Amino acid sequence: MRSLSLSLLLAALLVGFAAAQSRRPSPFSSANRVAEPVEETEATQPAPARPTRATTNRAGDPFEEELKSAFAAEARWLTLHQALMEDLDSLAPCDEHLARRIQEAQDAAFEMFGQRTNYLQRHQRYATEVREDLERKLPGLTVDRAELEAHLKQIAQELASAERRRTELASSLRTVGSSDDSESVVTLDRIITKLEREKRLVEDTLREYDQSREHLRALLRWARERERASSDQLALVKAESRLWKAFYDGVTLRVTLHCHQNSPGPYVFPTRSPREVLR
Amino acid sequence: MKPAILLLILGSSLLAQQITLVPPSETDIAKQRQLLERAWQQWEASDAGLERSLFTAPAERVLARIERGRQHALAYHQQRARFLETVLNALQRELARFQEDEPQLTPPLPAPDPRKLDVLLDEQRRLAKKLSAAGLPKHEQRSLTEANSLLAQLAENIAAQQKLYDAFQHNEAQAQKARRALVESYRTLIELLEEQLRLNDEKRQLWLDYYDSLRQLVEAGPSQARPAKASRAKERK
Repeated sequence: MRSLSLSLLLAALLVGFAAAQSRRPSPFSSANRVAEPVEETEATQPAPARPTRATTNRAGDPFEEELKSAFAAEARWLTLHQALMEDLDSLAPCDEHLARRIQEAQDAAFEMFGQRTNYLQRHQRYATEVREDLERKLPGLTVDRAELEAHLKQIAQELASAERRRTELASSLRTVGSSDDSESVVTLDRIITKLEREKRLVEDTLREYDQSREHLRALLRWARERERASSDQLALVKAESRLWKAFYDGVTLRVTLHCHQNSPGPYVFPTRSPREVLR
Repeated sequence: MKPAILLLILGSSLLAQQITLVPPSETDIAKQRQLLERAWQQWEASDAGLERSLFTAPAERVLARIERGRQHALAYHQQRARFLETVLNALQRELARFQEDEPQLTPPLPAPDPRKLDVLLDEQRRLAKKLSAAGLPKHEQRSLTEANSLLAQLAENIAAQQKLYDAFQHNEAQAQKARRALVESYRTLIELLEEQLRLNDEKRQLWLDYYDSLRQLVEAGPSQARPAKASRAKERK
């Protein structure tokens, strides 16, 4: 019994010690870790803060998945590229790994540019659809300014007519010796007040109508701008992909040249007389 | 045979839907306004100078003119309500059309990864160090210079992409603002027209009251035409 409890205590102590060791960084292992080639995936290495990039959680964004995929491809390429550039000088020029890593980085770049180009082409199509949709809607607007203007003139006529009636009624009442504050005059005055209010309302309506058309024009302008930006971005990304291709071609060329320079030259046979050879 | 009948039914139902869904044509508002103008002209013609001849023309004729004027005023205000309703409905339809695709978010333009510029700077530093090394073969120098020029072009390209992205963000904010303002503007227009409709109702009632008061004046005769206050005071007594 005593030996059992002692062995249990010993086992518990050993487990605790092992756990403490695993938490404590070993000076040897840390040194080794630094020397190890970096193979970080997206999951292990979070991307650095990107204050200017669009956030990926956009509810309602029609191309959210494509964008996420393009960003992931870009992060993968950048990781490969950075690691390659850091190790480029330290690796032997004729090292097979070096050629493979250049190819990997180049492939990752092309994949990223492919995804980005696809996304931007969709973006451009979307921008064109939005602009065309808006342009289609504009002629379909049924309320015409001329109708509202004619309506304003109509109210002005009605007001002028009511005022004329008011003058004539007052004149008629005066001829029969009645005063201006009869029921009819009071009602007519109330009508004139309402008409003046109505005229102001129609004027406000016209002003608001002009404002609405101004906003519509602005919307169309921004839709065209969006389409242009999308197309320009696509052109820039295509140009960038060509530049990176030239960059990788240059790197490959330099590495090949170094490899040739560092390789032993062709064996030079000593010049011998054919007779000596025959002997 | 059966699919043909099914297709026929489907086609006819679609056609029927299309017919019912087609908004009133542009001429609807114009037509209503023309009718309004006609109603106005009829009203104006029916009781032109009525107030002037209120106590001078024979009472029966004046009363008949008052009645005609009353009817035309009623018709005019009814037509005006129809015109306003047509405009109001058209505006509501326009607003609905603009709000149709409102929930969809504009896809973002991807900004260049800021890490790219770091990569380019590091590479430029590395190349500059190599170029400064003594005894570099000419072809190596040329290759490194070309690579350096490529890096500069890449940096320019990325800067242009960033600039475009910033402009795009600004444009999107402006477009959102314009869209919100447009919807707000439409709502204001609808409110203004609803207010006009209410006012039109009140005015119609006032015109009917006015014609009633005119009839009372004529029926009472010129000698009985008294100030409203005095007559009301009498009634109260």
